[in-house]
Amino acid sequence: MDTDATASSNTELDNAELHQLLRKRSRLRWGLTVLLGGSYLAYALAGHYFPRALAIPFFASAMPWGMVAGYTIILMSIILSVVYVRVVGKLTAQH
Amino acid sequence: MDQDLNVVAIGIFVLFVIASLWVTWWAARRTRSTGEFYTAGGKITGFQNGLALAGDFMSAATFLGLTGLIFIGGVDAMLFTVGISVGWALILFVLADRLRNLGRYTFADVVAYRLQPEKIRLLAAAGTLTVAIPYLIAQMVGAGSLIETLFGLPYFSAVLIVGTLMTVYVVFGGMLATTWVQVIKAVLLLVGGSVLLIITLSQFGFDLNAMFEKAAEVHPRGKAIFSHGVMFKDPISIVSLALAFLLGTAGLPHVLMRFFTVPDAQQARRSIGFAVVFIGYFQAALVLVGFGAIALLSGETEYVDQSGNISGGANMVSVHLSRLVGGEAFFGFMSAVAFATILAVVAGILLSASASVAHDIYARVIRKGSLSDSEEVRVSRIATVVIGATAIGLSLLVKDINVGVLSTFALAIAASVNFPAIFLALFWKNLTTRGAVAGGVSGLIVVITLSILSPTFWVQVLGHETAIFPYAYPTLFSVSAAFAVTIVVSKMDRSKRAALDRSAYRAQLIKSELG
Repeated sequence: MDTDATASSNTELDNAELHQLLRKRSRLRWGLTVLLGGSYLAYALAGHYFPRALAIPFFASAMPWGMVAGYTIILMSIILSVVYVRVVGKLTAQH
Repeated sequence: MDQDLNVVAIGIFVLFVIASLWVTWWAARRTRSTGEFYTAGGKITGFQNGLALAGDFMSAATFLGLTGLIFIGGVDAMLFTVGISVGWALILFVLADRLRNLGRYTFADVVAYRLQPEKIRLLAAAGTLTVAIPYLIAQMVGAGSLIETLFGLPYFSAVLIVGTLMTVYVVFGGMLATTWVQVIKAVLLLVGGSVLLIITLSQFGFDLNAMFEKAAEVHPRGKAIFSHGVMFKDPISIVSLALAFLLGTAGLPHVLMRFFTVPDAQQARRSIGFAVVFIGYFQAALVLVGFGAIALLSGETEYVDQSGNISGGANMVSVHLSRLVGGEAFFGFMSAVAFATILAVVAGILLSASASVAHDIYARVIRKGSLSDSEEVRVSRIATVVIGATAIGLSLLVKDINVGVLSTFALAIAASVNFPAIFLALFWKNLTTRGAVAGGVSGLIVVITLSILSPTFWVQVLGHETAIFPYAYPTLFSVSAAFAVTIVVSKMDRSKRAALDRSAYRAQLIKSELG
């Protein structure tokens, strides 16, 4: 890394607009991480602490609630990934 | 299962091999520079790379192993399938952009961006080889036994075929051939898995309720297959396992290397986005296939005995199911797909291991960057042949090793050594070279020690009565140790180098976010 590049990067970082971009991206990154990672951890631990509740059939079907919860989280990971790719693409294009 | 030669399977597999060798020949003419050898010149598109990433992860262990786990554990095994999908999405949110923007060929490039390069590259090479070699052997031993059962070929020839083909792909075609072999295999696996799912559901007139009811009726544990809390008894093991999947995947060197095969961060994000879609879909489908297998295979004495044991082991569930619902031709197709799956995965792992030896250790540490481009490619090819031959030799020696234990061990090392260094290098300003090295070494020592003392190794392999470390997985403890040591040592580091490491963070941040 040469010193010129470092110096110009530092001036760029002082740029308020850039600051805002970094803040937005960081909020999105950690928000989605906590939401999805937290849901998974909650699901995993619910299976341990409330096995009976998760074994109750989902409405009139033979599928248990635990399986519906698992599928919901798989679906969430797909949807949130698509959202992330789109939003970051737009944010970056704006700058 | 009979030991006769399986003609359909061998025919389809030979077609796959011919196609893959043609791809290798085509790629060889486009692979001259180090950039082309390690990362296909960064010219892979997001969609292609997404398929290849999905292919890298959908190894024989996930395809064959997970259906087997669902067959035994019911919904409890969804802890794995859901964890895998979530793990990939988290890699996208947290790592994709920054890795792509900072790296060139290996993940060591990223960690060494602002830290003292030689020390970091040695640490990363240790992290790469201790993950790649056990993972490679686990896959090859698994391949050998699987092919012995499916094709009726002896173990020795099976390992030799897999080992030779993977070495040929990498030596001649580098990353370009490895990527395309992986793409072809991923498509075959996604199509094969979907067809298996459709035929299985058609047996119940596409009525999911009928399938689940039948599964509960015929499984030895009855309705308990719908209950969680059977496979894992304590919350610490659950969290440890979850961490191994979430963080271990993000520390696998052959997966990380794929981030550098696309032109920019936008394509890197798209690659992982596609990978999450493919992997999530496949995991969701596997759960249904697993329950279909319970409903259809239980009671079929040719496949499952009275006490519920599957002939050929739990890994054979999806293969038995293909034969039962799809007949000999489909069974042959799925066997060939299973073989192709292993072949593509081992090629990727081999490439990451040889890149680490040739690029990180030889070119950067020993020759300090004085190597010419063509010399480095030559060294990489020699490294590939040496590592390939070593892997073949070791796989022939350890035929009876427990494949599941070995691959989980590799994943635990990836989570405990590679992940903390990458994560803190990207997100924590105060990380210093000394801290990263101390943390990486502690993670490695803790994960190896606890794995040996755990029930899986101490009791099941060594035959002692009780385990010294009571939990099945060490990840929670080894990852925490690696993070804690890295943070404490970095904080206490007052060296000149530490000041340099910290001051370069701002420039790294800009580069990592904006490219």
